[in-house]
Amino acid sequence: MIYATVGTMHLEFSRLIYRMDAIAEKTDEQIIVQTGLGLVTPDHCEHFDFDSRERVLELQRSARVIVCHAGIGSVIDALEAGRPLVVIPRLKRFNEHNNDHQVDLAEAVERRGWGRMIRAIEELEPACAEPPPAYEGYKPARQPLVTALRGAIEQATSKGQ
Amino acid sequence: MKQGSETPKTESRHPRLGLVCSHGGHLTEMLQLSEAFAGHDAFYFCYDADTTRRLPNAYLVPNKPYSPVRFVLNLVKLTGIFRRERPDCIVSTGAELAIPAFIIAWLLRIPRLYIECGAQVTHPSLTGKLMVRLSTSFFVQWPELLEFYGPRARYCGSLIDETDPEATAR
Repeated sequence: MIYATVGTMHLEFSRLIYRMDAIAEKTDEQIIVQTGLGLVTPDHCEHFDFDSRERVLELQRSARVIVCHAGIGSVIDALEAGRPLVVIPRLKRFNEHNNDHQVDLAEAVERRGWGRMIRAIEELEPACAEPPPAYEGYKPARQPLVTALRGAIEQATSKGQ
Repeated sequence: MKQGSETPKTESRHPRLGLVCSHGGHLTEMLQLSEAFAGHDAFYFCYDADTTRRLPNAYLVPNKPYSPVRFVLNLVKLTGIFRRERPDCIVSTGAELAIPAFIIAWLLRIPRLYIECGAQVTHPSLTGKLMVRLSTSFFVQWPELLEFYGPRARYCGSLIDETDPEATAR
């Protein structure tokens, strides 16, 4: 099963949805697309706009490949699912986002060996057919930031007492 | 809840936090930071969505990031919320919903902590450029951003990366 997700952004990501639909037309493999706030939906595969976090995480864990926009929540969830990951950044020139910062995150994903970045939409079908290997043992180092934030909160709330 | 019956200042209470974020990845980040809020009372100010309707103590506003009318309404609403809730500190993981929240918090002299989204890797965001000036503490999640945001920004690690900043010792 291929699971594709566009996140919670208020702008359309029809480029990804149409391409997943085209892939679905050609393959027997199940494809499930999360379509978000946009109005565009695929005709040849299962889709839903939003679902519970539990169901979404379950879909990610059972996917052969995860295809996601390069949003922070989607990428972290996908990495934690530990499945082969294909990341496609939303681009400003297609009005998919208000700037091109998703390219930076997608490049970081590739640099870290976490997954593959799609630079042109034609790359999506071969990338789904032969995805990069899953990144094993993803272990984000969150504690230093949590500790620093806690310290900053304590400092901020103790002033004037 | 009557405003006349506020807790007297002398009485000890848990610090109260106002957590401001939009409903997607920014909310995921806020929840992943929740250990930093342990022992504090908190309320949320978020866009209205499936994910945020499940939050305890949440004030929800329509997801209209580019509406000037909505921006002004949010300013008014936030003034009421902050007066009623009396937060000791505002924490935001973005995105643009933080702008009205930090403006009101600045006017009311409430400390403001901003954590730039981990999706901003090498280029500052528009919200970030405003927040670095409006916040009392400003964290980035990728060290590459320090040169853009200047001395007010701090890098203390991130929610996504596996790199421990202490191991790479700045």
